[in-house]
Amino acid sequence: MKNIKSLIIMSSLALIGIQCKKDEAVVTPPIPGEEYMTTVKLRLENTANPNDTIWATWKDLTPDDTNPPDTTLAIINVKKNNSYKLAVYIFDETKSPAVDITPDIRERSNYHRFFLIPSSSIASKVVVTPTDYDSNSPALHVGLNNLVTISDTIASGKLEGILKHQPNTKDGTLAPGSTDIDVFFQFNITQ
Amino acid sequence: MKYFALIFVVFQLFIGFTQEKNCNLQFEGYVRDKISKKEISFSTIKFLDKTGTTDSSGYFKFSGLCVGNYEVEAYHYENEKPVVISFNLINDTLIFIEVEECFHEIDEVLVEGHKINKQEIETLQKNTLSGAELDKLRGNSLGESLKAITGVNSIQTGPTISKPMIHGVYGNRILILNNGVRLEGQNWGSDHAPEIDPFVATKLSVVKGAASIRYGMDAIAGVVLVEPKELPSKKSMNGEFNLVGSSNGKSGITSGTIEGAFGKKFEGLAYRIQGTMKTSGSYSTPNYYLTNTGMNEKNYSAAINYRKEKWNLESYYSNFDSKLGIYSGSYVGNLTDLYAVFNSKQPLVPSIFSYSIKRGYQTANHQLFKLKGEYNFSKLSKLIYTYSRQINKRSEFGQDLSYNDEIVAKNIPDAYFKLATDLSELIWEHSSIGHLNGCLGVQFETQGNIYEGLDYRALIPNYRNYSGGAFILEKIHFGKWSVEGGIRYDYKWMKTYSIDFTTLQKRSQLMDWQNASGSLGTIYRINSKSTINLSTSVGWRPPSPIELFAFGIHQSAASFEIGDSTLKTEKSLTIQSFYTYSTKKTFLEIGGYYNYYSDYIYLNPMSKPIVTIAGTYPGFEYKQANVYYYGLDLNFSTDLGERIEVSTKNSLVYAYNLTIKDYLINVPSNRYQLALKYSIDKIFKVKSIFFQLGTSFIDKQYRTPKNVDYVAAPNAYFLMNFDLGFVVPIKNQSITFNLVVDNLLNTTYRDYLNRFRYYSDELGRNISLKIKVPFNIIQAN
Repeated sequence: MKNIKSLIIMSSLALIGIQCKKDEAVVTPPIPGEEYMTTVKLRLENTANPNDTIWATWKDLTPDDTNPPDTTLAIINVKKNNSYKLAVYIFDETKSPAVDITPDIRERSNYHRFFLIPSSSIASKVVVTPTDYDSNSPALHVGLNNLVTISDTIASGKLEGILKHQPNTKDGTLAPGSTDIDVFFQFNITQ
Repeated sequence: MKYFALIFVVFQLFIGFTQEKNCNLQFEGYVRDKISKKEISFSTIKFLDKTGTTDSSGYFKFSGLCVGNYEVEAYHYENEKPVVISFNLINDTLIFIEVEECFHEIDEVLVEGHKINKQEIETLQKNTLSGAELDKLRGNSLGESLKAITGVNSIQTGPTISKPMIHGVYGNRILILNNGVRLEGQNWGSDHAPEIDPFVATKLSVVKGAASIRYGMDAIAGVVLVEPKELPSKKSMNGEFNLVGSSNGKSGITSGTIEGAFGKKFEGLAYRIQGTMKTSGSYSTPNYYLTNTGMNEKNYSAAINYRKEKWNLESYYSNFDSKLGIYSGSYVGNLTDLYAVFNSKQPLVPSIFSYSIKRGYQTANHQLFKLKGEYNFSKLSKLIYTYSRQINKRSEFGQDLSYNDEIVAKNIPDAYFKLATDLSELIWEHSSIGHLNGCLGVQFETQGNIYEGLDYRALIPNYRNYSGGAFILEKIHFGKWSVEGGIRYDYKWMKTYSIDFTTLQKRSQLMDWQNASGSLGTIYRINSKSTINLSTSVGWRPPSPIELFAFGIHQSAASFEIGDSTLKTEKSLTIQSFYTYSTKKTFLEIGGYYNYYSDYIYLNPMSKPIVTIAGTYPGFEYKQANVYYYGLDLNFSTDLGERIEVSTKNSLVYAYNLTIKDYLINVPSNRYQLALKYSIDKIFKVKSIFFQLGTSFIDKQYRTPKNVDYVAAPNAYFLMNFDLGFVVPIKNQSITFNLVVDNLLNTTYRDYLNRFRYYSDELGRNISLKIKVPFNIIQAN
C-alpha cells in the first residue's frame, strides 16, 4: 500500500502540473561562430589598365528573412573590346567586423565551384574563363578567379553568380550538388 | 438461486480462411439473471472442444479466436431445447447471457465490440493487424506496416521515414497510442517518423474516424493503437525470437522477448523484457542505390506487472533510438536545383552502397515511462490511473557543413529539439449500470519544448503548455441496436519563448484555446452475419507550434514556410458509416465517410517568391480554409473452393478546398489491391502453408491543386508481391517462416505521397526472410 500511496502522490504532482524545472524559459542562443553568406562582391580589373577597377556588390543582410536583398550596387559597367580579371569575394556582414568567407571556400575548393553565367542577351559577347584550380585529380576549376573577355558589341544583360556545393560529385559541371549562392548582377557593355 | 448453464459455441470457421485473419481475439462474458442482474456462478461452459465453468462471478473467457461468424448454443443442464444465438466476432468480445428461471428463454444477448476493459469507441471502424498477418509485416516500420489496412496510407520522406495517414489525413490530426500512452514527439514534421518499435506490439490497430472524445483533441481523424499482449498470469517463463533479413538495403533485424510470471510468494508478479536491433545499408531502386540511406535502430522495453486481489499495478519503460541517413540526392539549395534533379533521369549523386551514415542524417531518441494503477470495484467497474513521462530528443544534421572549422569539428546538429511530456489520466470504467456501460475520465498534460540550433531562426520556438480535458462516453444496448454517445471539453494554454533574430530581444506569447467535442453513433445488427454502423462527431484541434510560428527554409522541400500566430481553432464534422458481412466463406467490409473541416490549416503558396542569397524559393504560408474529404473503403475476401482465397482491398479518397475552389495537396490517389492465396494445411510435418500472390494498382493523382507543387503527380503504377509462409513444429515449439518478395517485377515507379519523388524512384525488388522462434523455459501448468 505504501507504494500505491507514493505512486498517487507522485502522479498527483504531475496531475496538477508542478514542474521542478522550466528549461524552456531560457532560450539557448545559437552556437557562436556559424557563418552566413550575406554579401557577394565582384572585383573586375582591366588587364590593360590596373587603374580601371570595378566593384559590384550584392547583399542581403537579413539572410533568414523575407526582406528583399539590396541590389543597388549590383551593377557592372565594362568597356567593349577589353578583358578583365574578375575576383569573387564572399562576406558575412551580420558580424562586426564583416568576416571574409572566401578563404574558407578556397580551403574547401575540392567540393565547391563558383560559376559566372552571362544571360542570353550577352552570352555571345562575354566569355568567362576560370583561372584557378582545385587539388582534385584531374584538377578542376574553382571559379573564384576568372578572366572575362568582352567582345566588340554594346549590349546589356545579367551576370549570374552561382556557388555550388558539390561534395564527392564535383565534375566541372553545374548540375551536381546544392546551391549555396545564386545572385544576379546587372551587366552593361559600354563604349 | 442457482442455475446451471451449458453453453456451446460452435466453431464454424474454415481453416484456410482463418489463417490470414486476426486470430488473436478473446471471447468472454457473463451468465447472469435477467431480472436481478446477478451473475450466476459455476455454470458449465462448452466452447469448441473445451469445457469450463464460470467463476464465482459468473465469468468465462476463451482466447486465441479468429475473426468470423460464431454460434452460441445454450442449454439448461437438464437438456432442454437449445437457444441459438449467432454473432460476428470482429473484435474482442464480451457477451452477457441473461437467463430467466426457465433457462430456455434467453431473449436478450448483448454482444459488445470490445472487451470491457478496453473502452474504445465501438461505433467507429477499427481494423487490427495481428497473428499471421502481422508476422508477414515484421521488420517494417510502423507507417509501412499499417498500409496493410484499407484506407490507411503513409506519407513518406525517402525509404526509411513514413508516417501513417488515415483517410487522407496525417500529422497532428492522427494520434498514436503506444501501449496506452499518447506518443508525444515532434509530430508536426512530415519527415519525423513515429518513434515506435513495432516489435513491442502483438496488435497494431487503426481506429478510422474522429476519436477525439476518448483520446483528446488531436485524434480528429483517427487513432493508431500499438498494443503489446497481456503479461502472463500463471507461473511461467517463455519468449520469442524474431529474425528478419532483407535483400534491399542488405538489412538485418533481431528482436527478442522474454516474459514470465512468478508463483508462490510472488504470485501476481509478471514481467517482460524486449529488445530490437535493426541495421540497414543504403536502399536501392531498380537502377541505382539511394546513397546514404542506411539506418540503425536500437530499442528496448521492460514491463512489470503486479496483480493482487482488486489491484493491478503496471510499470513500463521503453527506449527508442534511431539514426536515419537522408538520401544525398535530396539536398537541393534552391528551386533551380530541384528542377535540375527532377529533370535528370539519373541522380546527380553517385550511386554508392554503404552501411555507414554520413552527414545528412537525423537521430531520434524517445523514452517513455509509464505507471498505471487499476482498482477493480468488481468485474464490471474499475478506476484506472495512468501517469506517464516521455522525453523526445531529435537532432537533424544537414549535409552542408559550416564554413567555420571549429563547428565542423564538433559535429553539431543544425537543429535539436527536446520535448518533455507529462501526462496523467484518471478514468472510471463501468458496465451494466442497467444496460448502460461506458467511461468517465479526466486527462491532464503538460509539455516543455526546447530548441537549439545554429541560428536564431527556430522552426518552432521554445514553449510550455498545459492542457486538460474531461469526457464521458456511454453505450446502451437494446435488442439489435447499440447507441453510443459522448461529450468532452478541453482547454489548452501555451506560452512561447523566443529571441528575435534581428533585435535579439526576448519575446513571449501567451495563447489559449478551449472547446467542446461530441460524438454519437449507432450499430444495428441486421442478422448474425451482418451489421451496419453509423456515426457522427464534431471535434477540434488548436493550431500546432509549427503552424503558428514557422519561419524559414524547409530544406528537404526547397520551400520557405511562414506560420501565422493568428490562426484559429480548426473544427471538424465527420459522418461515417460502414457495413460488415461475414460468413465462413466470405468477409465484406464497406465503409464511406464525409469529413468537413472549417478553418482547416494548410500550406498555401504565396504569390511572390522569396529571394535569398541562395536563390529563389517559393514561399508558403499557413492559412485556413473550409475543406472536405469524402471516400470509400472496400475490403472483400471469399473462398473459391477449399484452398483458394481471393481478396481485394480498395480505397478511394476525394478532397476539396472550398475557400480557394481547388483540390487539396498530398491526398492519396485511388488504390486497388487484389490477392490470391493458396493454402495447404499440412505437408509431412510442415503446417499452415500458404502462397499468396498480390497485385496492386495505384492510380495517378489527377486531383492536384494548381501552382502549388513543383512537379506533376507521378504516373499510375502496378506492383506485384509474393508471400510464402509455413510453420515447422520442432519439439514443443512452432517456428514460423515467411518469405516475402515486394516489388516482384522490379518496377521503376514514383509515389505521389513520397516527398522524395522529386529526387528518386521508389525501391526496387526486396526479398525478405522472416523467422519467428518461440521458446519455453518454464512451462505454465
